[in-house]
Amino acid sequence: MSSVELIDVHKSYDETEVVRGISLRIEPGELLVLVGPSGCGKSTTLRMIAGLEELSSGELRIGEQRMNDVSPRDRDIGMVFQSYALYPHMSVFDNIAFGLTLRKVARAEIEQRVGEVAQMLGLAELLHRKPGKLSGGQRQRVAMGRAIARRPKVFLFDEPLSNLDAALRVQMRAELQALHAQLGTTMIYVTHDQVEAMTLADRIAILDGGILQQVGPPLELYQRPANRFVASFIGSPAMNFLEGRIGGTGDEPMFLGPGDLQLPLGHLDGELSAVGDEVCLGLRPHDLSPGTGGLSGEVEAVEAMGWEAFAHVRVGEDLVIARLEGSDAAAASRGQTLHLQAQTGRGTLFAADGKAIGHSGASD
Amino acid sequence: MMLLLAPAARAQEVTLWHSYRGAEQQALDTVLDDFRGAHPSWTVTALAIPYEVMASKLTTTIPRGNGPDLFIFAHERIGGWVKSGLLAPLDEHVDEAERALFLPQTIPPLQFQDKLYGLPLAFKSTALFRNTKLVPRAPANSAELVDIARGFSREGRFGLAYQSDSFYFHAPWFFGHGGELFSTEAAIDYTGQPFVRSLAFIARLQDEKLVPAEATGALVSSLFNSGKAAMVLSGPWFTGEIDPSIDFAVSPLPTLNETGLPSSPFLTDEAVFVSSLAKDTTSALDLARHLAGRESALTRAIVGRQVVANAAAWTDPRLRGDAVLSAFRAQLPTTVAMDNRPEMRDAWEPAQLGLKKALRGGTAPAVAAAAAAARYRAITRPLPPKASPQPYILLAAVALLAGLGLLLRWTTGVVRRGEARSAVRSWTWAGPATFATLVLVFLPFLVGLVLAFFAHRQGDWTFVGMANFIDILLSRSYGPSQPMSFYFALGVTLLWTVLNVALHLGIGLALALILNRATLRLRPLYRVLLILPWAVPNYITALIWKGLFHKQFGAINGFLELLGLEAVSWFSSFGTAFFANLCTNVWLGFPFMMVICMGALQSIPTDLYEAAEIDGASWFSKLRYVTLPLLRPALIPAVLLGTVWTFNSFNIVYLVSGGEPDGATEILISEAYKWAFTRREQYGYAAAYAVLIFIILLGWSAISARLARQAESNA
Repeated sequence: MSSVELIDVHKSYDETEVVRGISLRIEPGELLVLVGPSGCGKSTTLRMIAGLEELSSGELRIGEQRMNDVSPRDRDIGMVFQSYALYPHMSVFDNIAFGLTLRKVARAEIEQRVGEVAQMLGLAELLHRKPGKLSGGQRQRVAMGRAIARRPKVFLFDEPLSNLDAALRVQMRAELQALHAQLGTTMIYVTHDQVEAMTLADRIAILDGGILQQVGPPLELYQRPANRFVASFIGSPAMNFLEGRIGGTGDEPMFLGPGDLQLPLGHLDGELSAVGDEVCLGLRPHDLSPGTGGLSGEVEAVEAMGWEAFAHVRVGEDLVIARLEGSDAAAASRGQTLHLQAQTGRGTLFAADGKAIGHSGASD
Repeated sequence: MMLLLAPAARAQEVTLWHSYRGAEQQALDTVLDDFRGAHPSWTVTALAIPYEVMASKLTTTIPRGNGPDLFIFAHERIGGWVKSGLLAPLDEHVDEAERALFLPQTIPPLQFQDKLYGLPLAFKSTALFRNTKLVPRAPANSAELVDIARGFSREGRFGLAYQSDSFYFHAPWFFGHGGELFSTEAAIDYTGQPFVRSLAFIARLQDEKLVPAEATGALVSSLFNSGKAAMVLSGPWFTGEIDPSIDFAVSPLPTLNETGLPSSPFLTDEAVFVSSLAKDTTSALDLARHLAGRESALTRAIVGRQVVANAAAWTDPRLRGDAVLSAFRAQLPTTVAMDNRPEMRDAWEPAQLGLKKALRGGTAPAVAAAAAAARYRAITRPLPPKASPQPYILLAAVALLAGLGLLLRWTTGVVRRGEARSAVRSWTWAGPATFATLVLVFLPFLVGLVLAFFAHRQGDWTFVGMANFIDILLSRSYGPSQPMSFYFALGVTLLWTVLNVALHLGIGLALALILNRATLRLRPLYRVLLILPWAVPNYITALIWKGLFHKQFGAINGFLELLGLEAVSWFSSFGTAFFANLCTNVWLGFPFMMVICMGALQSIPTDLYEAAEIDGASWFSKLRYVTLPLLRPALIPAVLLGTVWTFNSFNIVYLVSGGEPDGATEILISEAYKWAFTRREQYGYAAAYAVLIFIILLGWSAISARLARQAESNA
């Protein structure tokens, strides 16, 4: 168990700056998920921690020691690759044992440790097989086994589940959580899938354009996104954004949205802008429900899930997604006109530059 | 009517083959045009055939009736040709008086078993060329020659330059020491005093550095033209190679002081021969007479620079006044005609061997001569006893029947399963390729296999059964541990193959690893440069390397001397000669392995290396545990293929070391070649070698197929 700390880390390839000044501390034993869209620099950041890429500037510390110039093999980390990167010519046993063999661990101990790991991951029956004869999920486990067997201080995961089918992914997620609980090792996990991030992480670090957008526990990111990017990235379906301006009075500010929409903003904490400023109100789909709250439009699509449904409603220029329940969900159909109301006391207000300026205080 | 009756106006067709080029061809054309002018109704066709292929073309075309009526060639093959029935005897047509028209020494070489074949046109022998600025007066005897040479020779300069390791050029010293052809059963009495003394004589000259070692024809001319050789022992052809700025003169070779005998060079007649199947011997002879006649001889001498055999031509002042031609004419009385018996050709290889061994230093002339005698015995191995072909025919018949049986079973199976129609269609498609394979691969192989059971001597084939194989495998001529034995050659071949393939692979892999680094600049340039050795035709590369390893003038020895080291006589000992071959073949072979490795390296995913790095692998562990195992599937077929290529890489051994020293660096395939083409055409013996090579490689491919399968199942 070690902490990992990045201090103003930059990475550029020729002219392109991929990572632009990330500072982040991961506490010992923490599971941190680095999430963001493709090209946001999350994999590069992970590879810099692993030592597979050099830092252009800044500092990397693992266990309070500067690691910038330490080779990967001396960093005492384990890594699981997206492609698994199993050695195709070695048996499962040899794959898992490889790091131990290289470190000249005694044969008996290698066998014991590989046995333990195989037991833990359900690989005991497969130890003599070659990776080519394994299913995707089994290869995934071998890749994890290889990282675990060496008992490194830090585990790095580079989109480890992206090559698995949906059902297997859910299962592996649960297993990963269990594994983390059992091993208690610091883990850094890269994914582009916000669901994975939400379900696994102790804390999530969101990256966009090489810049760290927000770091915090999943729920905090969900409820108190720091900006529109974070708000749109976390949560499924994505948050609705309604453009408008501040109205009312200083004591009782109102949001004046598209059409006749007027919503009181008094419940939001934070320093709201002055009356007349252009703002944007973010509402989660479940903050909208059928009713006469000033929003209405034609239903363009319905995602029916059974008891609930998500209706895509055209409100002026914007497409708004509302969550319907029960009979409303059953009745929703394409082409119908739907009247919506926003639940009072909900939503996040963003300034014109995208920064969040007010959050609803309470959780639901 | 009138025309038909006139004998001079017979309408005739005569075809003439020759190997002349340049001025000689021009002279011949003029002479032929004169003849055509005198015989307007005749059709005279002249065809130039390259010298090297003339003999084999004649042997194949004349018996089939599509050879020439007349041909011009050297006299030394007469015996063989008469035995094969290629030549028409001319005794009936050419009487004593006509023979007397030619210089007397030029007639006996054309006689075989008391019959005359051919009319002499010109003759060739060696004589002594000298740079008149350096050597104003020709040496009268060998002591003078050696004195002049001592006076001139020093660092890089030689008193006398010639191809000293060729017996043709060495002949004057042999005859000068009293040597005679066919004084024993062999053409040369190798262990006799004349041969041994001649070796001692020339070895001493070379030891004193009066004569350059391992000189080639090109080296001799370059030394003479740059004033670094005072005298040259060569023939009339050498005049064409002399730089116009060099003043030179030619004189007969000096007498040897030790014996008082003249140093007689070999005499070669260039004669016109009438084919045994000439359409009309009389008219063919008419043209032959014209070619050999005085007027033609003058044209050939003056235009073609030939030393002509027609005696009357020498009365012409233009010939008598020609210093060069007259010098060779003056040499003629003291020449020894090359014997025209087929057995003469067996004498060369042993003589050359003794000569090279003696010149290499460190071997007493008597020992070198004994080695030559042993080699002579080996290559003139007695004809194995005739064997009865019946058991073999029976065996072949059984094999044939079994094959037919299998074919029948297969065919009925196809018909029974109702697949006849599709089988016919398949065979129609595969037919052309199958036919080509049968004709180009299977038939020659079969012929080779059958030949291995025969012995060939001068056109006669004797069925000897397994005798060739038994002789080879029992290593009768030489002990198993001596060069020229099958086992020694096999050992050399295996060592050769293993070292080559290991070095090809090692160097190829190392270069591929270097070129595979993404950070390397100018990578495409290096790649092209490194593939280049592969792109150059390998015989050119081989000759370049042979030159590099030359004892006195090679760049490698030059470099060693620059470093203050002693020059190495590369082809004098097995180790160094083998090393020279090895260098050449490694140079030629590594690009192939490099290309294969580069391709295979590209297919290894980079994240495997990253995973290994994180697992704690060093550069070497990554190579050992990731790169090499993953290259294996691609490398195994390449290594198997390379092994077979190297096992049979005839060119390099033949061209670089040529088997030197004493055949020690010969590999099986080049040994087989020598038996077929330089040792009295023992095709059957060579074919048996080839069959043994085939069996070895068959065994190897069976083993390797298993290895490849294993590698595949491991992947």
